[in-house]
Amino acid sequence: MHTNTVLYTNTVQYINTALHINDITSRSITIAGYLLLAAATVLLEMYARRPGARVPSFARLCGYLMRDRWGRLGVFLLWFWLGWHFLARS
Amino acid sequence: MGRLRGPGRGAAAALVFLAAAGFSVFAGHFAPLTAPAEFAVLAAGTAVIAWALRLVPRAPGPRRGPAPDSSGGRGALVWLALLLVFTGWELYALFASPADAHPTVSALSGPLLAPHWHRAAAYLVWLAGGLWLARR
Repeated sequence: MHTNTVLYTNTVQYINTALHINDITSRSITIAGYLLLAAATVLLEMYARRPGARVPSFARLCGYLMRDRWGRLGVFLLWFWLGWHFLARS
Repeated sequence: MGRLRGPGRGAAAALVFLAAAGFSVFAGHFAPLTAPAEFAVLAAGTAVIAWALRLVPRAPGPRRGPAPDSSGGRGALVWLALLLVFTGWELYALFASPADAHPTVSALSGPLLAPHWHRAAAYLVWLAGGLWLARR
């Protein structure tokens, strides 16, 4: 086995033992990561909508990105790809 | 909906919603990786983009407010950071093995979107997103 792989496996095992998370699968951790990012997105948007917030809301960011024709086209191509990928191709 | 006012605008919005909902229920029947599903996304996507970018001469476009003159300064970097973290997490899941232990969003959405009504709801959310973007 490659030295880096052994080192990685040993490190993961050490962390698992130290934190008692042997029963937690990698799949659960990966999904938890996505859920955490989704929660962070919702919280960030909620904060951005408060008066005087120093972070722009998602709507304002989209409006700024789409202020000219090319930006508008780029954002819409991204939107189209989401539909194509999740509804037609996966 | 561009030049309509008052009740006319409300009726047009209701009509657009009904059309989008009807289309979503119809398109939800198409299984992914089939030609009808690809055609449904292509047709709906092209229609929304043509409307949003006013590609059809003399056709009414979306009613838009004035575009923001700034992105919000450094605050916009928080969104960028979130996007980068998501991209990193997704790429890690994509290249890590075994794939079953590191699912990507696509892999997770597959079984989730398998039932017809779930896919219909996803079509409606996608279309609503496109119409929402068109008003920005």
